[in-house]
Amino acid sequence: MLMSYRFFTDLSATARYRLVILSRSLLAIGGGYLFAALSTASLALALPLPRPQAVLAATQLSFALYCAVIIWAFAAASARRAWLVTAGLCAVPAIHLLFKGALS
Amino acid sequence: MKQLGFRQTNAWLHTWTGLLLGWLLYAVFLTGTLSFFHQEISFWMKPELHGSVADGSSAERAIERLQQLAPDAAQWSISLPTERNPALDVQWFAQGERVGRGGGQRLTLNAATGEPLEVRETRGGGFLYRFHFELYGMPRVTARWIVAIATMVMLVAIVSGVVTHKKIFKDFFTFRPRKGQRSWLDAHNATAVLALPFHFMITYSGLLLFMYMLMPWGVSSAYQGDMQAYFSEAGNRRGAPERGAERSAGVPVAAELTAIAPLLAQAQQQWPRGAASIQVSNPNTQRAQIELREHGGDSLIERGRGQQMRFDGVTGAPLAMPATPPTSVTNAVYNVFSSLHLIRFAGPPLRWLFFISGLLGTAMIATGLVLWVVKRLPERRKLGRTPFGHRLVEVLNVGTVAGLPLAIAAYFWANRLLPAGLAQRSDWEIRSFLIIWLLCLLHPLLRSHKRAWQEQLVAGAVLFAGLPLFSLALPHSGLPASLASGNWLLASMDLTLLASAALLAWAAYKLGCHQPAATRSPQRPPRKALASAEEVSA
Repeated sequence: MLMSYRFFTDLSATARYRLVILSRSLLAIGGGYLFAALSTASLALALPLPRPQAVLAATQLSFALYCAVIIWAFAAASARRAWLVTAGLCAVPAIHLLFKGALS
Repeated sequence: MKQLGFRQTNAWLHTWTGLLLGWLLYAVFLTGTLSFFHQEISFWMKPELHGSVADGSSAERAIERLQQLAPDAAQWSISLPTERNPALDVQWFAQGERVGRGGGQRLTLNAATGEPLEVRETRGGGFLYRFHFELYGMPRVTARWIVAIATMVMLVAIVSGVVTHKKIFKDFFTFRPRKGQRSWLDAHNATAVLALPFHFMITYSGLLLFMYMLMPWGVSSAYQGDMQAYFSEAGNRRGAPERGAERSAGVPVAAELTAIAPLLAQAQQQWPRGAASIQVSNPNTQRAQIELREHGGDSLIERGRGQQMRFDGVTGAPLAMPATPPTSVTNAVYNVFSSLHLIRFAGPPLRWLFFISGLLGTAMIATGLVLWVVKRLPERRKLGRTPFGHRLVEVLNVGTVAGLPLAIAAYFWANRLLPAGLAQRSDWEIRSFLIIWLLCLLHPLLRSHKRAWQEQLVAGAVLFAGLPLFSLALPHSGLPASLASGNWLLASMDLTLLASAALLAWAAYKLGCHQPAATRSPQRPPRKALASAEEVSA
């Protein structure tokens, strides 16, 4: 990211704007899905419910989480911040899953 | 986007997510809305059934007919006449045949006489229903993914649209007609807010209906991806295996089937809505069993699933049914959501409420699409030309917002006009729909924006108005006859067609009256007429 900073500042305003949109869109679509998927997998194990119900509850919730990340990806003060926060968000269920050995 | 606040970024997101898949969402919403009445539409599309009037003995007639047609069958299924479909549908499976969907032989009977009916081959409202989540002419899974992604985009558009509006409640009571862009925005807000709970419910439940395809990761982690293990533990399989076991045991011994009427009378006592279907396994043998299924249940939590009663097919003695486990809260949430989407349970008033809400949703999408164009007119004027993107949106707007209803009218006309003996008749009905829609998408390329709207609206109005007139020529299908006999199933379809025609004609008329505000813009498009264009969805 730092390496590309110079390249980034050299671009015209329009090109920069488009790159930011592209970056945020990628984050919203891919990062949002990743977060929703990891949370679903993690909550399906973690929710204090009988197993099938935990799966169902986690899966039903996932679309709300996805939607929230998509909106956040465009609302964050900077694209960089949006990426970092989403990465941080993803880390929580990912670590839980690693701990549970469910990611293998 | 750094300098924008939360509300502005949501407005931006709302604009672009809405535009990106707006046309697809419009098509999904419109065909999905019509799907609330897909059985009624199918019935209307089969005029051969219109003489069928159900009475108390329809079930016995069906059994008599099956005794003649297939006394040795492994299973008979009878769908009894309902208020949504007054004909009798029977199906039977030969010995050794796998009992399941799509198999067996089917026949439609006149409920009043038990005579088989020669029904024209049509997909009926089922095509519109399938189209709204599987589109057409592409692999089912691909199409479901496309629609599911569009649904997710719709969810984002709804949430960001709500966030955008600071004064959402006040905006709802505001309508400023003849103010160009402002009127469009008001119309968009009003249609959105009026049915907002519906829009949200139908979108989120649409996602939930696809959820194991979209988000299988919960099952992956908790069940190592074993969907079957998950479903069997979740208790979604009901009593299927035992029935197979019964069938395979021993050589059948002939025995006379008990009369159906007393069993139905018993069911009627418990179920105020009566029985919806009869299933007879191993008829005319000692192992015969008769299963009755209730016509729609009361509980949303049980997904409106009816209860069942099982009887010995020879003695008529009631048999025990496997107990249904109580529904957990999480299951209940899913069941309520998915049955709200499918509304299998609903009576006519709720069905109409959903239909109208669906039309409002369709109108919301249409006004949003038009708003995108109207909002960019000043920019276009300043530029002195029409950018390609703007023109593309205009063309797609006409071809979808006005073109899709026109194509649906063409589908209905094809149903009426194609000869009954035509090979692949039902495919040709669908092709007519697709060809007309394609022409509607091409037509605006050749005409000015206003002309394109006008011509498609008028064509749609003429086609819709003609359909009830054509039905007058059919023996049992005319509007005066169905009104006189109180056949609301047929009459409401014809009246809805006339209402659609009136709306389209009104839209075309307003468009014709509209004079562009010459001082402000010589080539301002016909916004007033567009205002009514979204009504096309009726």
